Amino acid sequence: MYRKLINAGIAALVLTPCVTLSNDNATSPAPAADAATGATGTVVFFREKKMMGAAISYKVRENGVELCKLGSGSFCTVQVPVGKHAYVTKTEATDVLNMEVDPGETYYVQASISMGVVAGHSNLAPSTREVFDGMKAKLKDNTGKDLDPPKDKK
Amino acid sequence: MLARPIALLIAILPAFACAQEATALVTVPALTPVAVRLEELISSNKNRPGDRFRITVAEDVRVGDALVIPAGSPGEGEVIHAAKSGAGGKAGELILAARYVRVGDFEVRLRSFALGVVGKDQAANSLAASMIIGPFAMFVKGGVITVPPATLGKAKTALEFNLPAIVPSTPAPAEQSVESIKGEDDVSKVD
Repeated sequence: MYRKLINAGIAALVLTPCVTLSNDNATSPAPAADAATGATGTVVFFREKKMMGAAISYKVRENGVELCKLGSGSFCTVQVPVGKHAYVTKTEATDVLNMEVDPGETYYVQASISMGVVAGHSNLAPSTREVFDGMKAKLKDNTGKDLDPPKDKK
Repeated sequence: MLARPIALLIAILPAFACAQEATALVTVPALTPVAVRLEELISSNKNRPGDRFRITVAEDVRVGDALVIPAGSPGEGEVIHAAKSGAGGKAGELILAARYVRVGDFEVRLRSFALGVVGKDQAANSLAASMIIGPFAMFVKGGVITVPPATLGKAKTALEFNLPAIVPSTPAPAEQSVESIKGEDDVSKVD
């Protein structure tokens, strides 16, 4: 009995370092690791050509920085860092789309405008490549156009 | 009296244990597909960005003949975006991400989650009109979006991992259905 206990104790002591080592090998790096490497993904913002709200254009912003100006029948392609993003549009009402970008992936965001009192309500919604490809021929590429430079924070 | 067996144990065990560990680790490449199952109901009206939800691995993940992530391994997902449907025809919106699955003490990070792309999707009938497959799991619908438990999806491993093989050299089954996993009688399952 005494001998068994000693043997079991020794076995446990000897095995422990190896288990710890394999744990270290498989532990996930921190979620911010991808962002730290400078990896990017692509976000395509597009707005279908429609009569309703055609006179109204609006901008997509993140943290106050203008990324894209969307009129009726236009699109922008934006390279963004990997990680979480919050894209904002504002007309009569403000709409926020939260997204998470993985490295090398392309995401599609469809912009639209719905009935409002004065200028309508802008909206950003997740979409797909299939939807974008279906209307791309009728859309104008507005990437990097009509954007104000970022304001200096003093 | 006891000195000899103890000395023998000390001499043999480290070599035995470490040799076993060295052969048992299997490299799981980044972007290896992982079929996952939602274990909770997610709703665009009730859930908020940042909410966590339970997921499990729906099918065994093998590298060659080695089982590295057994079906049933628990994990966690996160609601990235949730917006209620509103007046003026504003659609409900939902974006979900699979975060990780746990294999024993190991945490395997996941990415590129897409729902409804695996086998028999129990949510397919009710969500077919609203579900769109892309690089992330997302829904856009006129009304409230409800993703029921047991909805299947597919994610990928975010990075290359070294995991211990759970069954060293058992031939992989031809195609494992979701029903066969429900039996929970997999002896290789790691809790």
